[in-house]
Amino acid sequence: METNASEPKLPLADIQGLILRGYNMATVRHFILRIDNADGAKRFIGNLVSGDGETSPQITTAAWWDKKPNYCLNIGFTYNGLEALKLQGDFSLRSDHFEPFKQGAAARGAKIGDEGESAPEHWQGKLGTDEVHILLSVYAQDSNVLESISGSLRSLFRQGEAIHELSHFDGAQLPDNRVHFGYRDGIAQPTIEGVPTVRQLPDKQKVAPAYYFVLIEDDDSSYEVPTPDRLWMNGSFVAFRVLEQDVAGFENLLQQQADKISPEMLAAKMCGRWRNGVPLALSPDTDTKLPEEQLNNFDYSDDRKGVKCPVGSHIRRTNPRNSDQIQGLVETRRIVRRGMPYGPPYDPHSPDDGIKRGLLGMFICTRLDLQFEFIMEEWVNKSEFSGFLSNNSKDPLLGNNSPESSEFDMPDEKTTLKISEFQRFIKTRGGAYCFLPSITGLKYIANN
Amino acid sequence: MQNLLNFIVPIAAPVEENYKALKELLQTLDGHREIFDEIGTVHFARFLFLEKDTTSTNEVYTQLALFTVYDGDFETYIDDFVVKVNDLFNALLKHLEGGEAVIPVNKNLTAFTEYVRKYDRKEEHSYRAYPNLTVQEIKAKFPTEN
Ligand code: HEM
Repeated sequence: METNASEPKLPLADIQGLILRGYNMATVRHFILRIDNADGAKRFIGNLVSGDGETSPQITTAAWWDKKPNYCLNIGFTYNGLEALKLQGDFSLRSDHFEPFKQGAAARGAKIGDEGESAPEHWQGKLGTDEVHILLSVYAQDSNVLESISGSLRSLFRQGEAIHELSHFDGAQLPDNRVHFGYRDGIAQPTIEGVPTVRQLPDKQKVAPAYYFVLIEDDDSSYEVPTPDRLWMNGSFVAFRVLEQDVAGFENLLQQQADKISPEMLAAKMCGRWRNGVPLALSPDTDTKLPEEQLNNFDYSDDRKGVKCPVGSHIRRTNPRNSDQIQGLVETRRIVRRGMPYGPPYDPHSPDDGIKRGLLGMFICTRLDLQFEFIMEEWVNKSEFSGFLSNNSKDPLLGNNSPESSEFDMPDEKTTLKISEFQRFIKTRGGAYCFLPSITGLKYIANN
Repeated sequence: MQNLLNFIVPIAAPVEENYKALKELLQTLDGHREIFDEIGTVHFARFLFLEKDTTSTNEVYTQLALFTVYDGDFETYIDDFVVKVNDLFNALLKHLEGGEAVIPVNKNLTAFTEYVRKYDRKEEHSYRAYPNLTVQEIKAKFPTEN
């Protein structure tokens, strides 16, 4: 275990685990819950942080563990959820900075590309409705553990009809940390000041101040921790997203363009990494494996035009790494990503199997407007931020594309290979903006 | 899309003292070049003093003006300026009418934005040779100018 030399140390045992560490568990279940009885809900929440693992599964914190647990558990609340808890005293969010959380994911949908088929009125499992109050996420080593913990939680939250299960979303790891479309994921994460890590890959980018990921008082941050402190301090926000992937459509595009560019090369250009995770920035011509320590140790300073890694590729859009080549700063827009695929691996022999697959994504930050939403709005779904993008082009993997207007440019030194008329490959099937309180915050909720 | 800011604000009393302090502060602005390059949305920015104080025997002005041409919505990148030049903004605001109320800017962003809006004058007319080109596009086409 190594600690980044930089202080201050965060109170890890008070912070929910998923904010600061990846669990690397085999399965996940996200419960979407409605509070029907505030007192009963508070009892349930209190039990999750009572320290008594016999009575109830316990919330996982970011405290160091010697032995990996069988399960991890985290809880988040929508703004409606906080209201449904009928807390005594004011918990108002006066600052505009927390407006996205207050308004909720459905109200913000149009801003970030949740339109047409992806619009909130089509979301699944009651997501996007006022009934969504709690996001309870169980990660488990295997499906037996997942079922057993789920069973315990269900019997606890149903007591006295306190909490009603609106839906749940299950995910499971694919081999080799792949996500659908076949890419290896989970490589790039911000290095966060004061957070101990086992395996932080070397990274050319700046260490990110902790206040971008955990609500703490800091003279340099652009927010003040709302009051009461005990509720908000050491908490964070998450954009939970159910993102369906059109794998057959994506593979078709790769094949359709095969006379112009090899399918593997096109897949790499669209993402910015080869499917095995090797970044184009370091290896533009071949996916020959590189040592792990190199996989996140690069930037785009020697590749302004995007000859090696297209400026429009998914990873270069969502983290341009060098501020001097785009509008605005990059350092203020880092996010922590925790995602798990859902649906079985895609079988190229039965492309039209009718099975839904995608990603259950958790995007964590303290300023949803400045970090998560900014990335979606300005970088994924627009082109003005860079001088090297075709007007109105969007992220080819994630953007809200339509065949009438889609474009993706892959320049080389002399010419530019352009593909167009491709559809949107990742659709939003649900979303929720949740607050992830600290352990102190959860106790505050239980007692107020 | 390019936007204009015509920010004209009275200097706080005592005007002479604050005017002198502002004049000194503005001399340091060259040191911020790289920050503005990094944020990369400002085409031009110029500070000047307006409205000479005719009652004073010394050279004293009563208003500070900032005129800029920049890309995008004011709100989209204002956070970034504040991250980078919070101290400069605070130092300037100390000498401007009503400025104390929005210090420190990074903790009072909404109030600061309203403050800037309040003193932003609408121009009667403007002409732009290339209204849709951004700083980034121009720099992309003329990399040697950087
Ligand atoms: C189904 C949906 C998505 C898929 C399949 C996907 C896929 C990927 C892949 C394969 C990578 C490269 C692996 C890595 O660098 O760790 C990546 C990186 C990344 N993605 Fe996504 N992504 C999805 C949704 C999103 C969304 C909604 C966001 C919005 C914020 C996002 C933001 C990022 C960021 C910030 C990175 C890291 C870039 C870097 O630091 O270089 N992704 N994604």
